[in-house]
Amino acid sequence: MSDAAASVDGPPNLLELTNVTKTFGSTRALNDVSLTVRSGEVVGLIGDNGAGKSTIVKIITGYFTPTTGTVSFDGEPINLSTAMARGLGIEAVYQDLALIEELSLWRNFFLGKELRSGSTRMPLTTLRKKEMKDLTLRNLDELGLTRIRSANEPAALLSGGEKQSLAITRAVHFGARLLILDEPTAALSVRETLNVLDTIRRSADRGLGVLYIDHNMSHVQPVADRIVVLEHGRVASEHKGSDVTVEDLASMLSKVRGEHDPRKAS
Amino acid sequence: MRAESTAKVAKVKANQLAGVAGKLASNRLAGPIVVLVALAAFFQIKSGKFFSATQIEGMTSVAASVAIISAAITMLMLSGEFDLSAAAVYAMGPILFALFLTDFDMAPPVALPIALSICSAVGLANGLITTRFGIPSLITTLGASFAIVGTNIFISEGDNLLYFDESPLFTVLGGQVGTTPLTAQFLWAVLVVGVLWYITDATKYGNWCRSAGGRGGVAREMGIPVNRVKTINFVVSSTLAGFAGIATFTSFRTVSAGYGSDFELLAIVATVVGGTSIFGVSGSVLGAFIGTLVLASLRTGLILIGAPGSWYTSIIGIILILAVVANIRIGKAGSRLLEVSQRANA
Repeated sequence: MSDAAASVDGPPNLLELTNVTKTFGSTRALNDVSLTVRSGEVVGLIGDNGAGKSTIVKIITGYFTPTTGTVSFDGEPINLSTAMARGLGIEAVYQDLALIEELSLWRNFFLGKELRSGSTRMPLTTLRKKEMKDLTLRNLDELGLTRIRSANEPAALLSGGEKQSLAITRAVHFGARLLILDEPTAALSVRETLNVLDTIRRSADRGLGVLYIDHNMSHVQPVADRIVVLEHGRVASEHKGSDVTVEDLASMLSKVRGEHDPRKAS
Repeated sequence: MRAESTAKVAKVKANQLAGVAGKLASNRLAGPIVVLVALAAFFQIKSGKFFSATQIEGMTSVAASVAIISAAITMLMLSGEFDLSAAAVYAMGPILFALFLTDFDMAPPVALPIALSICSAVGLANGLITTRFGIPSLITTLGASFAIVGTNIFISEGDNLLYFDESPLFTVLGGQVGTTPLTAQFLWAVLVVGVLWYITDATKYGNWCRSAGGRGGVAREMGIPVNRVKTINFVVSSTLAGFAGIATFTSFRTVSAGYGSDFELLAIVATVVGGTSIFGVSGSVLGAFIGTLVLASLRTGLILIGAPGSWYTSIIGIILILAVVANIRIGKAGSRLLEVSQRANA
């Protein structure tokens, strides 16, 4: 490993972006971005719309390859594809793409990771339904969703925040190592947001690395160990979560807006 | 104390009852079963011979083809797609089969797989066009339907194709089952329904089908090969439609281009009556089978009580609309009841 210092400070870097630049034609979406996430750590990534947050997500999940720069996982530089990202345990939870509304909870929870009896190489082996339903209910219970008594219920019965929490729990259950959360609390009530943040914190405490992306710093600040502020495709500053207040972050972002956005001149 | 605990027990019982009712309602099979039983009882009381051998023979022979098509269409609908070309393929299968037997002098066991492969190719084309170009399958399969109907008329030269030679394959596909009023075709239908029910309910692939019908690309995000699943389902639909047509041909021994011309619509009605959502994801192949039996009972029952044949067509239209409304209402009421009973138990 190149930076021995990291292993002294804490666990080694799980994910490491080094001098990543991404251009689309003449547009430079990311400019020389370096970013690390360690196991057990929540890293907040905040920035305005167009700051390059989504581009970073797409690079980490293997949808985009960086124009220049490297992505490392477990200290190994890699050329990520979507399948590889999944294989490595990089799981993204999106706001609208958490669960299928009409599909029952257990089918949702085990989608793509179904438990089957007998040889899993045979295409049409029987599902271990009972076991999957029990596991789904146990995970719901752990989230405090004890009002759900049957895993046969459609996911539509859950509120937005409960769906997010269940999606995060599912990723943890299936051994995700790096969780990417893209604005998981947008459109949620305060109470629901707190529940989701709680789920995020508990996931990190179990040893997952979490990259939490949002433009709402009041959501990110309470759970993040570190906060990276992104501006116009560059890392503008990096803070320890405890060293910075929501107001500091807000003023940083509004300063950027003031400098670059003519609409804010008034 | 005593009264209090009795009241408590009563309350728990009421909640359990609400739970059972909710489960039945959200299960969506209860409705069609009730309708089927009510229809059978009504026709039996009214005519006194609804359950006679001739009636059962007529009913199962009507039901067999639609049961096979609707089972496959249910699987396809779970994955969020339609197949309006099923009836055209239902005629194409036996037309090709008959031409291979007569004009090409093929043996039936050779002609069958070739005819079925051509039917499969139609499904493959439907699937690839729908998924690659991202167009609604309503359009793809409507277009395919017209194209195939035209082709059917062209290759059959507008004639009735006949075939009367004896062959073991004909007995296996469409012969009478011993001394029972059932035809082999109906047993094939039961087999197809059983297999597709198992696949959609109890296998990984079934889970993938349902997820593929969900909106917003969630399944893709979870790594499900959505396009492949849909394409496979189109192929299954076309192949089984062709198979159903050939099985009917082995029983009736005649086929023309107008064969089973509204069967794809009947199959969709049966599917919807059986509780499958037109928006995909939820539903069951078993429900579609019960839906098919509802349609077949209506058809034979109305004739039995001396109602004009045209009633059947009108009633089916009304039932379709009622079924969709009921599905939505019952589904909602079911989840409400379940929630109430769960809240109470928690």
